[in-house]
Amino acid sequence: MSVLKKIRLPQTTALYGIVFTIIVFSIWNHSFFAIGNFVNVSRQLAPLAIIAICSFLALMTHHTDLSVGGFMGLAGIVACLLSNKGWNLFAACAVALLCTMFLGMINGIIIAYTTIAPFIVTLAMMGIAQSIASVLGRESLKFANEKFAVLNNADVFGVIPLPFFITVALYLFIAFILYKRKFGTQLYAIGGREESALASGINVKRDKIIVFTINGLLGGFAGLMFSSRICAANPTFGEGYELQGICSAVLGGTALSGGKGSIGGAFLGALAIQLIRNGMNFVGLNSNIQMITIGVILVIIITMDTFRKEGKRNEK
Amino acid sequence: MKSKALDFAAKYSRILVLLLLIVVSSLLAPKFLTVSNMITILQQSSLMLIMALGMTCAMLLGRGVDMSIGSTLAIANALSASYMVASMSTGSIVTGILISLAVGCGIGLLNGVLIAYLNLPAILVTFATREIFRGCVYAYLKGRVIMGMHPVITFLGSGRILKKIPVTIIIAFALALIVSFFLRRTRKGRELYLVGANPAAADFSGINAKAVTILAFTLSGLFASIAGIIYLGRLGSAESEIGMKFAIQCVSAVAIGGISFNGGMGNVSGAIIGCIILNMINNTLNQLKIDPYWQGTATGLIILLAVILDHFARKRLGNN
Repeated sequence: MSVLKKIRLPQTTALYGIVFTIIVFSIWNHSFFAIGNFVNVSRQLAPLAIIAICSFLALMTHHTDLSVGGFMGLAGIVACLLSNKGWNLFAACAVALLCTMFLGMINGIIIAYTTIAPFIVTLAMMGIAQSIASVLGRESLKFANEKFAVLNNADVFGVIPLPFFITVALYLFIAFILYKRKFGTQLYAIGGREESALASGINVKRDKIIVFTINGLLGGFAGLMFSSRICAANPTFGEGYELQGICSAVLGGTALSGGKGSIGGAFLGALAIQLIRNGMNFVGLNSNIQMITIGVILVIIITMDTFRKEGKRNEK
Repeated sequence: MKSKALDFAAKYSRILVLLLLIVVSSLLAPKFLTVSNMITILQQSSLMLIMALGMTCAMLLGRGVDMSIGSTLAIANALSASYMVASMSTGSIVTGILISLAVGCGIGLLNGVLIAYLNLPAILVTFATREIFRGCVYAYLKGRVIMGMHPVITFLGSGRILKKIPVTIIIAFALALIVSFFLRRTRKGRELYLVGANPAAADFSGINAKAVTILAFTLSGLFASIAGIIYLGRLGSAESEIGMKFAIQCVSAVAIGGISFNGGMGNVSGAIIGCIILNMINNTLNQLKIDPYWQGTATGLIILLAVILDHFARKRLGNN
């Protein structure tokens, strides 16, 4: 299938990163290199990987979406509140996703129809989303309905963790849209050169609104996956994820200036970052050191991305 | 006639927003329009303004914003406070302040070099340095709180001149004048504007864009640490949690003040008004006893509103 072929073409930085990380941490602590641990990682990967899709889509339109982290928290709180009131879990989650989708649509409308810097729009929206979540549910809320954890704990065919399965399915679906549907081609066109895309008749405004609405939906979904891990919701869940999402996408070869990159790369990038996080926890690194390390790694990642691009430019 | 009124409104849109806010606030909250409340607002705005001055310099470049000022402030405070508390002599204050400024400049320098020489986007770099130095603060303080500031520092942060005017306002005002002079009358200041407005033209004019970038972000870090000293005097202690929300609030204030994210547009008076508007909103919401959790939403909405208004004002002025 040509779709699968396209997925395998991402830049290799992410692959190097993954291999490097696995080697380093396996040497550090032999137990790291265990099936059980990797299965765990694949379970934990879901929120970050989904956010990476959001960052990828946003970067394709030359924008950064800072609000997805806020959507994560909001979705969890809304779903928790409703399900604690007795609502059916599916219905609660659906309403939560509708909320974040709505806010994402507002993002898209403002960004598409005005020239206000998307940075400040999504920044303000992040604050608004988090604040609404805080009003609805003060601090941490617990899901009364324990079945919610099934989203995280179940295994497909008894082997593959459900979160991982959902993530991969989501990625395949998005890849399908990107590579086999007009919308995807339009996105790449906008990412390449917005004026040209506009000139060739692409409805850039509408596409941007769609992108940010999708981000709202996916951001909320990532939040639900995150919440299901501990069966609780908190307005601050997802803080910092927007940055990690951007780094995942960049690590996977998406240009920060938009237009280049593949969704598979974003997946690998998310995997790399998740492995690093998991590895640091595994070897028991102090959380402060973790913070510093992630920061340093982020700088290195972005630097490598810049150099690789400059190298490509010089090759031409 | 009608268009003249709209033009006037566009040109002074921000001041009009401020006046509108004052009117609405004093109608909603009886204690709003008192001298002491106004002074409180100005005092809180001053702290934000000092940071905003540095942020303005960085944003004028058009490369992005400096999100690391919170962490810069925290670590500069932690280091200088621990030094000053260790040796409680008058001489140590000067050294302590110098330490803080040096840390601020150092981090700003790091940001500037990474952004200028490696051509990295400012947002990502400063996000990364924010994480790095926040981790450093946590590691250095290990949960301690450094207390017991020297009276001079306390005076800088909380003192008042003539029993009424907080020292902070005077310091902020003086700094604002200096930065305004720098931006408008000095060569390097004008270069900042040009690099932001038209990088290609700046390059052709022989301006060293890299040097200007490094300067701008160093200033951002420097002003963050200056604000840190004031904050140290206000709070009376150095902790590892301070400054978390500062960057976002500062960016918001600066955005309200009309400094463009694409660079090349904006000035100190905009930053001043932006800070005052933001703090006025917070103050009014507090006075109305509005749930602090709703304040985030309200602030976010007003930021959007202000930026949208500014956008339309610009459009209108552009048409003429």
